[in-house]
Amino acid sequence: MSFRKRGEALNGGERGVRTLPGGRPLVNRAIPSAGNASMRAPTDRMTALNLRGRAPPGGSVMSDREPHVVHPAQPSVEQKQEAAILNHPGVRPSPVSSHLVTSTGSEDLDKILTHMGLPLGNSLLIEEQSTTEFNSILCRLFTAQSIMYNRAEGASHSTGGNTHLIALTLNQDFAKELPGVYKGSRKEMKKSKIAEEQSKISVTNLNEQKSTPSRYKDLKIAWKYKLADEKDSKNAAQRKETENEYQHYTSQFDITSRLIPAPSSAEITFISPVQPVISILSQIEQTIKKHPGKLVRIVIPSFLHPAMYPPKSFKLSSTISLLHGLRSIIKKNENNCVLLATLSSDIISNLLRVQIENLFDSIVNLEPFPQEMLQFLEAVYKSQPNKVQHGLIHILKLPIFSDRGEMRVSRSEWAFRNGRKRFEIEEWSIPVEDNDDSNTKSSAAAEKSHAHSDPNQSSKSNTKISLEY
Amino acid sequence: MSTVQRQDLTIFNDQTVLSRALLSGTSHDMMLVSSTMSTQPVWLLNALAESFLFGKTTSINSSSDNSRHSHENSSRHVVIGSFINDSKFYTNSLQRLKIHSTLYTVVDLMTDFVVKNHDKPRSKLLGLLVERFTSPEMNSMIIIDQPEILLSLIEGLTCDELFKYFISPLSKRCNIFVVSTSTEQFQDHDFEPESTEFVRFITKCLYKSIVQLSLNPLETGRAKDVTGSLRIARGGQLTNHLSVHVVENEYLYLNERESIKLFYR
Repeated sequence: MSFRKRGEALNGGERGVRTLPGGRPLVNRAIPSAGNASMRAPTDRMTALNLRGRAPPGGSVMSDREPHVVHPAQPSVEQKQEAAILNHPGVRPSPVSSHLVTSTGSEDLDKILTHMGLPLGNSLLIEEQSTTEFNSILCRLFTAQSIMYNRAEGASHSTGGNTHLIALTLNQDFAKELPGVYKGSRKEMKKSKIAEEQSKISVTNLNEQKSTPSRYKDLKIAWKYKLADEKDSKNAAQRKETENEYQHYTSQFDITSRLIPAPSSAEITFISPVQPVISILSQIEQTIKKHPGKLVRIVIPSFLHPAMYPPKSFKLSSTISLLHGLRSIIKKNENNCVLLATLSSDIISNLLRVQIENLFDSIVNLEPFPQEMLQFLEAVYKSQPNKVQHGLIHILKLPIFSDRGEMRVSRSEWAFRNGRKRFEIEEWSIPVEDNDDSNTKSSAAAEKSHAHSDPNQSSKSNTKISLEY
Repeated sequence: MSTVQRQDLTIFNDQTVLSRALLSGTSHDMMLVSSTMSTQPVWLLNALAESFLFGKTTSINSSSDNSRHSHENSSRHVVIGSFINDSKFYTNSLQRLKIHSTLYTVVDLMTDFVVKNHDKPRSKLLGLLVERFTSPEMNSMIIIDQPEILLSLIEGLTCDELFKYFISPLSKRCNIFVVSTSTEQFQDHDFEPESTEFVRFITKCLYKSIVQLSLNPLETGRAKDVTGSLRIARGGQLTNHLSVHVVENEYLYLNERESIKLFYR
């Protein structure tokens, strides 16, 4: 017979943690001696099998009292680190090769790199012509994505997450300027809420799901359309499965919002580029060593920006030594390290640019459109301002393929558009002006020319314009 | 539609890639491989190594792995040193050709180069680098990948010093010395004052080599069926001491999914 009240939850509502009346938890209240042995074995095995490095609940409490037994089949530290990377939410296999890749933070950039990301142990240089700063968006997306990996479900927070970012910059506010995750427009938010409600298991929802679409009831539909419907639903299900498998791989960011909370020192390490090359390299190596089993993403925003780098940094020996050392570090830690750098190519000499490019595994070049081109595109896409592209993106080198000697340069094949919620990259084609528009323009031009030739007609045309107004 | 006939790679007039005449005497001959960022030379360097070891190149124009050198042995030895790629890169590519690991040595000149050598005097550093190539003087080939990067890495290093302390001593340690260099900075034809040493390096290599193999992309841009062109030209060094001579030629090549196909232009 129990004296407990009917509605009161056992253990104060918390699973496995018994507390004293003062709120203090009961520590080391495990069953001693023989009972422990039977419980210990599966715990050890679970620890060994636990690929994401998460300790089972209560495991540490018990291990205090136990003698340390090393099983012959227990994985080594390297194997554990490898397994941690394999199970990382931000790592997936490349669909075109056997390499593991990680996202750049921009889904479209991942696609044009053909691996659906940047292969581990590789580096990416984003160059930009002229004085615009589109590269900084990609740089922030890459950084924000690193932080999102660290905060993703399944990341072991006890060991400080699964990803670490190293930023080689003087700008300490860089971490505060990162874009937040896109949560959708108001309509989308409402829709998602409804979908969430519908996905809950309830009698009405189940009935609705089982029932056939209303248009099947309303009219007798041709059999082939019905088959197409079924095929579509199958494809959608498959797509959903893949999305679920890599649901944390690429996040969608809203560049008008900020990532909250801002990254802490446990997530990001700042290293000043204004110090001797050797100390920069040793600091980076130490930081990587401090975070074993984690995905380490190195970012160099606005490399060789005159506001941040002193004139001596522009010397060939200084720049190339730094990048050569970084390349060496990336290749040494090829199982868990990637590098992304952005550079404004107009401010450096041709020789320095070529030498820098030589040390990167992949290179993309952003060429923003000049003002005239933008005006033309705005005129063409008058009714669809969202379609106006902002520039071209040239691919100069692709990871792995270029190293093998394959020619993967593609110039003027892709165009980019920077939007609030996405950095879009699409195939470039010169838009065609509408005939109607051109006709009206040409007729207007013709009228104008007539007006110059015949002063009598000018009054007529003016009258016409005034009437139109 | 008829298929385009594939061609075998031949450099010398005895229909070989690397003639036996190069190994008969005590001469030390230099070959220059120039490439660009979009046409990297790893496949050609592999083909040269393969030809040197076995007298044939199965990596070019072959579609299957069966014909590769899994059971072949050779009395020759190849040493590859790279300033831009680590040892794993070349080891993997040679393993794919099933060349036995005892027949080649890869010297990793990239990993920790800056950290280990930043405070050493120039001549001493270059001497130490040469010492890392321990190959038998006869029946050996040394391939060095992008040595011109030393002009950027070592402050104040001149082309003359690079040749005096590094290139010339290395070339005397083997029968055939292959220098692979990037000509990307010369694509635009606008030379800057700082690039003088790089221009001099390339020029000197051209004068000292018996043959120049240059890999370039098509001038018309990317094509689906052609990666680029391979041009074979005589170098500045005379070949009077050899019983063969270089046949100047130009091929188109397709490098796709690790298979190389050659066609006449």
